[in-house]
Amino acid sequence: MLPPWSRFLIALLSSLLLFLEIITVPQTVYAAETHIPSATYYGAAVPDWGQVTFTSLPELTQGGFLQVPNSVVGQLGYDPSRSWSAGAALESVLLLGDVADSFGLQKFSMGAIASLTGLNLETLSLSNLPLLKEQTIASLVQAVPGLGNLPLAQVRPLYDLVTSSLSQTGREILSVANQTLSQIATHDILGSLSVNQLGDTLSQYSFTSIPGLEQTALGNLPGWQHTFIEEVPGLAHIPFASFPNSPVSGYFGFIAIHDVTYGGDRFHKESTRKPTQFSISGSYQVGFNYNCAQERGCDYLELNSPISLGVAGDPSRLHGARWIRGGDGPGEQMVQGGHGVLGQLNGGMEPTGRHPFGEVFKVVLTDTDESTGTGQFGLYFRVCSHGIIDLGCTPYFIGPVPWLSSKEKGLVFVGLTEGTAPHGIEQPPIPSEIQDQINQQGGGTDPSGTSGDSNLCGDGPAGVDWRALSDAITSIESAGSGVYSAVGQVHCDSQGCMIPLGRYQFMSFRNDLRAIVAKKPGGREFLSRLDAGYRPPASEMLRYFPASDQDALFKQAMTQDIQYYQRRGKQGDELLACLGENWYSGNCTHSSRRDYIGGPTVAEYGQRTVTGYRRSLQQRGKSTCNISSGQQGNGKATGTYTKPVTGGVITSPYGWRTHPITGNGSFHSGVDYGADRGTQVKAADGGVVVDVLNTCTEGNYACGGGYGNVVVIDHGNGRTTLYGHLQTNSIPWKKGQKVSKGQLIGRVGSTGRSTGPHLHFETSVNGKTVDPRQYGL
Amino acid sequence: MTLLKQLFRQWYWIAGGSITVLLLSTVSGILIGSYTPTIASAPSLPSTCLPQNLPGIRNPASELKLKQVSSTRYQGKEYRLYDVTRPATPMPFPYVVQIQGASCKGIYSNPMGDPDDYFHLAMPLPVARQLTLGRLQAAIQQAGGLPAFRDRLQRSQQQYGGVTQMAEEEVWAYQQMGLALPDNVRVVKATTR
Repeated sequence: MLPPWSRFLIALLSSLLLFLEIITVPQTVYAAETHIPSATYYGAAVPDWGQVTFTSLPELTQGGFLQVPNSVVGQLGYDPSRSWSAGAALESVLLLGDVADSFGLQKFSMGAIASLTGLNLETLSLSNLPLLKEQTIASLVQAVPGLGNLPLAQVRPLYDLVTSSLSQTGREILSVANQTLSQIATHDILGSLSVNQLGDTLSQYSFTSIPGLEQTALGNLPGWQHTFIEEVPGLAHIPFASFPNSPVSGYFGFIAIHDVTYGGDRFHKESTRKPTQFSISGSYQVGFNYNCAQERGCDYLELNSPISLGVAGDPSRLHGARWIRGGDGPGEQMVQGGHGVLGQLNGGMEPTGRHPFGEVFKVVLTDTDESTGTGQFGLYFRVCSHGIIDLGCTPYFIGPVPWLSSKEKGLVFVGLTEGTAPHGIEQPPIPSEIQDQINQQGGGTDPSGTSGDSNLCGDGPAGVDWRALSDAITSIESAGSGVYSAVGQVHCDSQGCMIPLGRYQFMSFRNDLRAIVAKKPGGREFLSRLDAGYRPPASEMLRYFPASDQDALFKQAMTQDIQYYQRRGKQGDELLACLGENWYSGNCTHSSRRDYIGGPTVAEYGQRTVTGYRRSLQQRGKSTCNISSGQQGNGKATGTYTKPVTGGVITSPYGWRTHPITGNGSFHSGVDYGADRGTQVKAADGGVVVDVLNTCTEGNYACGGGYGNVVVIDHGNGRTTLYGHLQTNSIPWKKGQKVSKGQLIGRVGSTGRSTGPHLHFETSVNGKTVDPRQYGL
Repeated sequence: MTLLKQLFRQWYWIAGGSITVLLLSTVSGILIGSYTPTIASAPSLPSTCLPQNLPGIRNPASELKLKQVSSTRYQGKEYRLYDVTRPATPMPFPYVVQIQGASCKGIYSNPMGDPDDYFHLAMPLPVARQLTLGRLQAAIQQAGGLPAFRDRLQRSQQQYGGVTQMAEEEVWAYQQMGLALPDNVRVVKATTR
C-alpha cells in the first residue's frame, strides 16, 4: 500500500507526462475535404457522376509500378508495364486498354469527345493525338470509314506523306494523286508509310484534314490499348456519366451510419489489440465479410444500420458492421485480389475495401482518425484484359486517389451488402424513406420482384397459356412464393457449386442463364462467385437476373420443350405433365424417382404441374397480352434519376448553341443518347405515365409533334421526364399507369424528326426543361 | 431671313433623305421580292393542321401560337413554314405543313431544337429551298436589312475558323441572297426524293 503523498506524486507526474506528451506530439490534422463533385443519396455523400471527370479527381498519393512478364505481354498484344510517382494524375497512369471493359472509352470518336467537351477539332492538330503517329496509310484506310474511297489528292496529310516519299524515289506524283486511298493502301511500300514520317509537320494539319477521322472510334485505330487517357485530347474532361459503358448510372445499395472510428493515432490503439469481427470489407476473391486476420487487429469504422425489418432482421446487414482500413501498413489489411493470369501481379494482393459503385474501382478506407472521429476513403483501380484470350484482371492496386470522407454519426454509402448479419445487436427502428429504399431493392428493377404474380401472358405453342404454366411451375418451385427475387440454397459437390435463382428456380449452371448474366456489367464475376458457393442477396440476384430476363428465359425454354414433346405426340394434360417432369428432372418418364432427397417423384411433379395449371386457369382464366398494358410499377419517385439507356453516349447535349457561320441560334431541349435501335429505355425514376404515343412510324417527321413515339412520366413535385423517338409499338404503357424507377418503358428508335436511332431525353421542372446533367445524367 | 433659309435647308435635306431612303428600300424590296417565297402572313390554319400529339399540349388551337415565316407551291401543293411557340418555351420551333385542297398534314416539326434542322429530310428539295429562302429573308429583315445581315455574317466568319455543316437548301438560299459562305462549310446534301 503506497502512502497518500506518493499516490499524489504519481498522479502529479502522470499528469505532467501526459501534458508533455500532448504538447510534444504533433497534433493530428484531418486532411482538408477533397473536392470531389458530389451529390447526396438518402443523406449520404455520393459522387455526382455527371460532374466527376478524370481531371476533377485528386492526384494519386502513392507511387507504384506494374511490371508485366514478357509472356503476358505477348498474349496481351501490348505492354501495359508502367510506373508512376505520388502526385501523378490518374489520367496519366491509366491506359485506354486498362478500362476498355469497364468504361469503354475506346468507343469514343474524337467527334463525340468534341461534342461533349466543346473541343474545336478544326484548331486541333493531328499531332495532338499521339495515337495517330502509330498509324500507317493502310491502317487508316481500314479504320476510317469511307477514307479508302477518296482520291489521295483530297487528303492533304496523306498526299504529302506519299509525295514526299515518292520524290525520293523519283516516281511520278501525278500518277498516284488520283488513285484512291484504298489503292494506295494495298501498295507494299506506300501502304506501310507511317504518319509519324510527317515529323514536325504533323502539327500543321488540322484534325479535320483527314475526312471521317473525327467520326472514327478510337478503338478502330491500332495501338489504342496503350494510349494513356491524357493522350486523347478532351477525354479526361468528360463526365463519367457520359462514358459509353458508364458503370455508374445511379446508385444501388444501402447507406450506413458511421458510428465510431477506431485507430489512427497514438492514443487510440484498442482497435489493434483484438481481431476485427463483422467485417463488410474484403474483395471479390475473398468475399466482403473478410475479418482482419492480423494478430494485432486493424483500424476500422464501426457502422450502424438505419434499417431494420423486424422478423426479417437487418437486410442491410450493417448494424455493428465494420469497414476495415485497407493497405499494407500498420493497422491496415491486404486481401487476395485479381484473377486469371493478370491476377498474379502485385503478389495477387490488394487493399481490403468495397465496391459501392461497381467493379471499375474499389473504395478503400485509407485513413482513420479516432481523435477527430473521421475516416478518409480512397479509390484503387486495376488492369483487365478480356480479349480473345481472357487474361483476367490484376488486383486493385493502382491508387489511392483521395475520395470522399466521413465523420462519426454521418452517413456513408456502402452499396450492396451480403453475407450473414451480425447477431445479438439491438435493432433500431426503420425510417420511412429507408423502408422505401428496401422495397426498391427487394423488387430490383422490376416491381413485381417481391410479388407472386406472373408477368407472362398469352399463348405459347399448342395453346399453352403462359401465365397458367408459369403459375403451375412456381407453385412448386421458389417455395411456392413465385417471387422473382427467390434465391435457393447452394449445393456444392466435387464438380462445383450451383444455386437455384428466381421465380422459376433456374439452376446457375444453365448455359442459357449464364449467357444472359455474363452480358451484364460484372456478370462474369458474379457467376464466378456463384460457382464458388456464394449465395447472393435477392437484390443482387435481381440486378444480374431481373424478372424480365427470367420470364424471357422461361418462355424460350418452355417453347422448345413444348415443340419437342408435340413432335412426340404429347398433348393435353400429358403434354403439361411432361413439361413439368422435364423441368424437374430433364426428362419425361413418369417415374417414381426423386430428384433430391425429400423432393417429389418425377411423376408427382408432373401431376402437380397439371393441377397447378388447371387451377390457375380456373381461378384467373386465360391470359391475354395487351401491348399497351405494362406490369404496373410502384410509381414511387426517389428524387434521383438514373441514365435511361445503358451504354448510350450523349451525342447532343442540352442547351443553347449558335451556328458559328450563320449566327442562327437553337435551343436543344434535352440530351440525345446515341444507342442501337431496339436498346431498352428505362424510367429514370418512378412515377405516373402522363403522355404516351406509340403509333408513329419512321419517316414521318412531324409525328408526335416531332418527338415521334414518346413517353412522359410525372415524378411529382413538378418534375417530369420525356423519352422521345421510341420504336413503333415498343411502349407497354397507358396513360395513368405507374412505373418504377428502372422499369422498361420502350425501346430506342428513330421516329419523329430523327435522322438515326437515338433517345431524346428531357427533364423538366414545372413545365420548363432543365439540363439533365444537373441530375448526374 | 437667315432663319428661313436655315429652315428651308433643313427641310430640303429631310425631304431629300426621306426620298432616298424610300427609293432604296423600294429597290431592295424589289430585289428581295424577285424570289418566290412569301413572307407575308397568310390565313390561319385550321386546328387539324396544327402540330398533333405534342407532349404536354392538350389543346393546340388555344395553347400554341403560330407565326407564318414563308410559303411556297410545288406540284399542286402548298407548303407553309411556321414558327410555333409553346406556353412554357419561349424559343419557337419550325413546323411545316403541306396543304392540298381541303386537306393538310404536318410534315416537319422540330420542337426538340435539334441543330441539324434540315428541311430536305421531309420534303422535296425545291420546297426545302424555297422555305429556307423565306426563312433567311425573314432573318435578314429582322437583322435590319441585307447590309446589316452581311456584316453580322462576315463577323461570324472571321471569328470562326472551324469546319461546320449547312444543309444544301440553306447554302442555296444564301447564294440566292448574294451572301458568300466560307470554304469551311460542308454541305449536307439531300438524298433523292
